[in-house]
Amino acid sequence: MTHQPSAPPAVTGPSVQSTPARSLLARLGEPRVLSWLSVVIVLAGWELAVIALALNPIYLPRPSRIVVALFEMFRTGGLTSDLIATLSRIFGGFFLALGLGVALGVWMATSERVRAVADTFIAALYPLPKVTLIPLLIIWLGTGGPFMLTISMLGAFFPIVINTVLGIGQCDQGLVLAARDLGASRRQIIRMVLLPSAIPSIFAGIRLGLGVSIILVVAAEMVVGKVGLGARLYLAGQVLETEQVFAVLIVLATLGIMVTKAQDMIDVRLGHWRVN
Amino acid sequence: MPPVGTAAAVPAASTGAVATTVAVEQVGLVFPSRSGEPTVALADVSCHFAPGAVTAIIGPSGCGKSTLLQIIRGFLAPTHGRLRFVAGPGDAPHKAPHSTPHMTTVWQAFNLFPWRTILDNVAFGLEVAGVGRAEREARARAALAKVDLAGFERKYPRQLSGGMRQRVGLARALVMEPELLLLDEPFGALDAQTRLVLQEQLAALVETSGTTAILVTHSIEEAVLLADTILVMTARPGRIAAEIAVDLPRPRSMATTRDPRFAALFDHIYGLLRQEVIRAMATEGGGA
Repeated sequence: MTHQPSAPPAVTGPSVQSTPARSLLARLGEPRVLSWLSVVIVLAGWELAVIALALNPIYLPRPSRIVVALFEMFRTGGLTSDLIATLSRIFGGFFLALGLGVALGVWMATSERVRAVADTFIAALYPLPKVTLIPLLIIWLGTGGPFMLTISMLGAFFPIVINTVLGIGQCDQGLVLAARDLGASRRQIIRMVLLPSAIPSIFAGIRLGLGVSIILVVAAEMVVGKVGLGARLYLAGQVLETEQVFAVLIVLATLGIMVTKAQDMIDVRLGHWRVN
Repeated sequence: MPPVGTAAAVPAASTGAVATTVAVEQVGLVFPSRSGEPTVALADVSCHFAPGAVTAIIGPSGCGKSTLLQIIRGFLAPTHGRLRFVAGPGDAPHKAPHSTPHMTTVWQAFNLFPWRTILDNVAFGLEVAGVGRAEREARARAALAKVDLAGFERKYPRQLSGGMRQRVGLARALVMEPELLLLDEPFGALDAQTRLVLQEQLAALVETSGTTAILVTHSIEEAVLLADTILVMTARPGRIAAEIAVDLPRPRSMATTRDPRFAALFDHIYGLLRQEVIRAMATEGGGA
């Protein structure tokens, strides 16, 4: 690229002095590149190790086979409908939890009586591992949609309620006084002062809650589901389709990454006014 | 800057209207404390605030001057005595004779909403009152221009200096066109130089707006520079120790501080406060 004499000065900045090899090495050292590169190296090592050691694919299939299995599952195996089922269970329950959780949180934070009543129940239910509720919920609700929505909602509900109460409790009382002084009603204070100031805390609750919802829905699907990623994972394991097990795990991991990244983006957008 | 010393001793009655008088009648505030001995925050405070004038309340820290302001604002209920508002001929004719005047406050801690832009902070009061977006933004812009903050509408509070933030606080209170402006140690959180400049600007603003204002401060200089009347409070339990008329000509500026009458007033108030501050320190030392 950088031929010394006649080349037009199309090259910008850094490569003026360095040779091509050197600049490539420098590029490889960049953290972003490095993080992808490490993934590629691990996958290549895995592939080669499986071939070299002639491992039984039931124990450890080759990454290339897993990718093929993944595409096959999407193309003909109906994995798309499993993904949709799981996502709608997670987010259906999550949005229910968000609505109910923020509403109860606001109510608790603004009324001492409500708080006194709700605190005890939350203290009793919050530390309980929610998976332990699966048998009881199945007895009550069966194994269909209502059960899945409830288990998903239970996961996200408590972190959201608790963080909403906390966030509103930490609101600067001076801001509430200023709003009252400017004529805001109780409802306006809640909507225009308490909720906006609690948003960082509510989002911390959402972060925790959505994670628990994902775990619970997949776990519930593994126990009783006929469709859904959890059901697919369990089924593949039962029949020793290890490639499919890995394929579902990849889908779940990707889902996790996307949810985390989306939350990071929302956090940045919401955090622009935050005092640093 | 307007020329200094144009002798117009008329206290900011530019509209010629005499609006609501605030009368504080034997107001006291006593609250129970854990030790059993009730704490007397305010004892038998009587004073009145003349319409269209700036009244400063000055006193040692902990004397209850901010508490008195909260009582006048209606955020604290006194345990004794009462407040009376008496409408004057300058009030709107439909106004009930003893209705509470429209008040807004400027706070020591600014209390700006950090998630709202400067424009939206100033427009907050109009927004909760149901004023439409176009109108409230226009009025907020005008108020910001009055405090020399045109061009900062889209910024957030954290992007502004302390002095600028308090000018936003002032614009937010003034945009509501209050009949009574409450200033609760408005420059207490600012550095000395910023304070001087803002005091001068506030003096000019209250002179032109003609609103009744109550200024709580612990700066003698600030009280003399801004007020028509100064109420000196005693150490806890707070009482009114003296009422002092400030007959310095307006408009006032930093040049006013070199007026011999300014020095005389300063010394007089300092003499009164000194005893109270010493007494406050003694009781605090004894009580703790």
